[in-house]
Amino acid sequence: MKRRRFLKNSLAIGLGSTLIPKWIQPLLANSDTLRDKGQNRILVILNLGGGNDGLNTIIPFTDDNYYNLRPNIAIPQNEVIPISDSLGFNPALAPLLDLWNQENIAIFQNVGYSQQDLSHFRSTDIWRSGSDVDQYISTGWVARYLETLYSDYVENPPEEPMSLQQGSTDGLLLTGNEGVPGVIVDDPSIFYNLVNETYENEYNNVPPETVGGDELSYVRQIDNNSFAYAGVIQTAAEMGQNTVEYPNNSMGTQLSIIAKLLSGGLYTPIFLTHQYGYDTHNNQLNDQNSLLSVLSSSIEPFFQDLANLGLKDRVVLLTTSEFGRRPFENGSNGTDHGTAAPQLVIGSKVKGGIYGSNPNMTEFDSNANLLHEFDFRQLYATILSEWFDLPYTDIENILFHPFETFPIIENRFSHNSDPIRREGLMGIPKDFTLSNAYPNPFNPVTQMTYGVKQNSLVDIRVFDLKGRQVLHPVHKVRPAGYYRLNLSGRSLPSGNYSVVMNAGNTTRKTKITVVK
Amino acid sequence: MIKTNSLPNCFIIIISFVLFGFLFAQGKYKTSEKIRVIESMDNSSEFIKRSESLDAFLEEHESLPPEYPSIKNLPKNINPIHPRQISAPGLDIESTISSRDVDFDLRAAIHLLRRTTFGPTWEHINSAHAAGLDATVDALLEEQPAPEPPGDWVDDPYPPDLTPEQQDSLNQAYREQRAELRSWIIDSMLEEGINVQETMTLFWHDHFATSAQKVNFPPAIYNHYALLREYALGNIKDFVKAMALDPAMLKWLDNDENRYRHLYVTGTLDDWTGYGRKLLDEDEDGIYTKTVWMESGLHQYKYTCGGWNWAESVPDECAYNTEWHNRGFRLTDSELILDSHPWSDCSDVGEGPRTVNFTVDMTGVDLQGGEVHVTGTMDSWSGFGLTLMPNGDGTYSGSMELEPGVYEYLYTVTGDFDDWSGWGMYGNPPLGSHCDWNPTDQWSNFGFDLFNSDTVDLNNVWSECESGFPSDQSYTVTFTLEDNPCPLAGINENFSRELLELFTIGVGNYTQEDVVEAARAYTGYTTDGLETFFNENRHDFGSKTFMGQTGYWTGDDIVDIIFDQEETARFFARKIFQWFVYYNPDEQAIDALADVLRENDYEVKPMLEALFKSELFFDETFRGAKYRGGIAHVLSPIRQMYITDIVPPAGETKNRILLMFQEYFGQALLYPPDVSGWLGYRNWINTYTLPYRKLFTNAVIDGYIYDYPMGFQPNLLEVASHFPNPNDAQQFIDDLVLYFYDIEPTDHTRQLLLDQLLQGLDPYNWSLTIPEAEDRLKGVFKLLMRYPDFQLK
Repeated sequence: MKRRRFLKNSLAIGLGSTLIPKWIQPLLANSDTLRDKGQNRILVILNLGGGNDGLNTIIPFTDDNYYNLRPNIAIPQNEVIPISDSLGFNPALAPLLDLWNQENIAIFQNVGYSQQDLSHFRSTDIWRSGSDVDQYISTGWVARYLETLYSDYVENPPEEPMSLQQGSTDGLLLTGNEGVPGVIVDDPSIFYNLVNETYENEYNNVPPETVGGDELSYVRQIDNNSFAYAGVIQTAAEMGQNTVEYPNNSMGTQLSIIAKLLSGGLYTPIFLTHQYGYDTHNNQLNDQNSLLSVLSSSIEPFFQDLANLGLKDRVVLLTTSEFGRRPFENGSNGTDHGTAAPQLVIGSKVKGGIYGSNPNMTEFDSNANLLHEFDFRQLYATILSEWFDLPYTDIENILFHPFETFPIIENRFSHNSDPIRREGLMGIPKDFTLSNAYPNPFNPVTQMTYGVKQNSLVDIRVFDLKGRQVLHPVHKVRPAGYYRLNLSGRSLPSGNYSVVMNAGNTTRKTKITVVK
Repeated sequence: MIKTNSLPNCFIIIISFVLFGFLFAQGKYKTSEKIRVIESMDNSSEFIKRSESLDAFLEEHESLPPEYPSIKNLPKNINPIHPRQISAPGLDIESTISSRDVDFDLRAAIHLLRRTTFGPTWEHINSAHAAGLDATVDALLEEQPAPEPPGDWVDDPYPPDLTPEQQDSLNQAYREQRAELRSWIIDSMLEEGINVQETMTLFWHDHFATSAQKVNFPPAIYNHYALLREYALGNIKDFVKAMALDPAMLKWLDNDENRYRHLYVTGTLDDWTGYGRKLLDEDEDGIYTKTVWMESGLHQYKYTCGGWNWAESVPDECAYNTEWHNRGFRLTDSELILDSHPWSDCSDVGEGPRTVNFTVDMTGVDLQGGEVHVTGTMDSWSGFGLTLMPNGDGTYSGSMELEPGVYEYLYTVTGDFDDWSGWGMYGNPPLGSHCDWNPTDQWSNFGFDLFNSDTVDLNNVWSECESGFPSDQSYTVTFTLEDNPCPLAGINENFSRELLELFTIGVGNYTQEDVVEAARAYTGYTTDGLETFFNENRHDFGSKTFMGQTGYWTGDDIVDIIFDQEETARFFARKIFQWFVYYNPDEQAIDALADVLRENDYEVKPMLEALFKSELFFDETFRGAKYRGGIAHVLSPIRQMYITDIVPPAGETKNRILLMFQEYFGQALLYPPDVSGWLGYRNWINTYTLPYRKLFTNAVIDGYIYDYPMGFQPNLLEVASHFPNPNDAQQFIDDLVLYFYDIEPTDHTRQLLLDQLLQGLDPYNWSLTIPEAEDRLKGVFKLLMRYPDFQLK
């Protein structure tokens, strides 16, 4: 109700229109676009703040060096929960065993980066910005991804928040080049009430062109974001539900709210959650065990809940932590700052298992720390490519370098049952199109892209010069979008052919030449 | 009996920690004057008892979180919001820290006081403006006397002997004391005049961010805050030295656990206490030695860093006892200098077989026609082993070639009389005798090691000890170890890393080696929560190489070296700039401020004076470019609305509601999110905090938040009367925006505020005396503080 009044008033005032968010104008397409581009898939990032000790999380329990280096804080062999012949869970991770047995947990070993910075704060920034160790980037990789999906959000915000942070937050992750593509929400209904009690709808001001004016614009953006999304989030929370009990702690609450919002129909591609306290310089055994047990006893019901709600195939959870800890224990029954550590990717679509080798407990870097095997950005690239189905060129733009990815998602493209990889030239074509082939002439394979304006039956055939049909690669109903066609000329003799595409009462042709 | 397999030697594991030996020899040691030097660890002293008892208490009792009133419509749990956001617009400014062209008009005076205090009143502003810039800055920088402490409890030591129940109730009392302390700090902030000391104290609290969440001992937190206040306008170098040894800081960053560990040899010489004798490296060549008198016989030992948490495990190939991985030696009839070993490693035992000559005296033994053999681990106790030949004098001899290692053996006689069983008769040392290879087990064998010599001659008497072992004779044994890991085994880098990274110079200006060396220099400090003590026995007296300089550095020396670095002054100048001017530092200004700091040997006042009088500080671009932090956002409206009598509702403690809102805004006093402090800048404003910030200012004007009384009620008519012309509606609105906003608002904003005040009334009919005046004022004040402009200063 309040919102409607706001719309009217703002339009009536009509001042400083560049500062008035355009979502006051009709915005039907926006959230659909966000949903489409994000493949209707959801990523939950769970940050273990303080630097989680990987060696006591996924334990190399057959490695004597592990026990030698940690005379007082190693997890005894008989307490480890084996998950392979040489690795085991910390006993506090017992609640995750079912997910592991269902092959829903991918464990990436030795995730880090070269020349690890041992500062919490700098290393956290590196993980969040996705920068090189000697590079200072003031935007976060998540924000850059969201801006790739939807660049116009400051002027023209999508109807649902692009990301939602629970509990403590990561500003940097959600700092983009344009603004802040996300909201921080604790309790949805309190948020809604507060915003409606305090939002000043008539306010409108043109900030001066000073540094102070920039800051004023920032406050206004946050103000508008909270108003824009309070109702949407509240509605989703009211429509949604939880089907299982979560532990009564911050971690459990954070995950339960996510499940509830998703079940209430909110589509927000990225959720950020947090658990703090992993900086175990002393008394590590007690402290880490209780943290891990809170963690595992919250994740377990979360996935159970998602399964009950029919959402399990839409969600993947990724853990992050700024670094692992020193393989050697320190003088206080704890560990000092280290380097590489295992990170988990969890979800029903995830191909579970252990990726990478056991930590090398004999060769260390110059600070007596573990050597990394995977760059943390390989995880990001893997999620962006495998889960969000983002083209490599976009991924490289987001992460500044190409990174090798891993096929960790089952039936990646089952959502459009397309045997040809949908290479997502983003956007919807204005017409039906068929590109020239490249390479051309070719042997044995060439590639072309075709565009589908609206949901239609697409038929593509290849004819020789005498008009005989020699191939019939596509005959399918396709949703709007761009598609890539790989064409093999193996069965064809050398010569010229024409490719003919029929869709939506239009015909498109292109010529190809096979040279053998 | 014959030994084929060792039984576990329970002996070693039951030995538990006994306070280790004390060295008095280190002599007096230069350290800060306030710190009492402990020359020995005296188990009976009140300090040690209190300290250990406090440690156990801290380990067991979590610091209880602050309690807040329960208010309708507000969540019971406050989620700490600590985002991290680093980008800021770039700067392109011409102003410098020169003070030439500062126009100290009324608006400039307000700007200065907004940035340096928790919110000026109209009278503060006018008196600053009238006094002029120089006099105002003098007043700002005048150090204030320390206030009376919040209670007698600030001197209470932690009582050493308490039952668990008493501890629980003490933990509850500590929660109350922390609440008193926080309220007391709020009071001193509310009561400040034109003075920057409270703001600077908060700056340093943010800088040395120490949390009561971990330091669960209120007197330590009180003293910590008192130290922040004491040095708030003082010398930064001295401040860092004092802070390093502050009891709360020692607990917060674990430096009370950062200790040197000595190297010990333990074993049969001290009945495996784990401590035995300390090895020293007096010539600093990296080789640690100790010479002791020992009785001749067989001995086992190993090296430890004191106790059994750090004890070496000797590889099988040079272990005398492979079950427990002990080293050993035979002390025969002369002094012994053991080869130098690396930790948990063998010395070079060489390769290839060596000759072992066995001779046994069989005089008086009836061989019953059988042969004399030697058998043992080299032939897996077959009973036959090597056949010895008679020498004609009653002795039998034989030689064999063996690979380096440790061997046990005994002699047998076998022949027709026992049907060549191999074990007709056997001759072994008396059980538990000094030549019993392992006198504590149930077996009794001879033994020898084959490490360092080309040949070993073994002379035994059938069923007696080796003739070469004179009993009750003592000789010296020298133990030697290289690559001693103990000095680094006990260190904890937490403090030394943050000292460099967050407290003095910043990331990128030191190496990991510097972190380790600084940690070594800061070993040996302990605390009982009230006082800090220097325990020589836990300090690393060795030489350290820190930032390229080698010497016998103490913690104070480390700080001196850090402050000799060019970058250190820039680090502090940058932080001060960010706190008072803008998040994105202007590097030219930083250089200039750093010069002032260095020229004044790190006295903070001259740098602040230069900054507060600079053109840069008053540059239009920075007006309104700072966010009011969580604490300031609570205090400013209260001070600016002239609220002085805060009477908490019945049953409620003073200022608790204010502390609660600070927490909503992400800045809980005495509970910084982590050691890097509050992130500041745009992090103060997000979709979580902004609605609460506006809810709070509404509540300040209403005197209620939902149905909960705030404990104060502003007198709006009285507030308005502080302004020069409150009956002139236009003038009044202009004064109010000047009072509350640092950025000049547009005419449109002024008009909205004026509309709110008049609500259709003709401006000429407005005055404070009209019946609806109070209502209108309420609306205007609330609106003023709800607009985004109010979030900035």
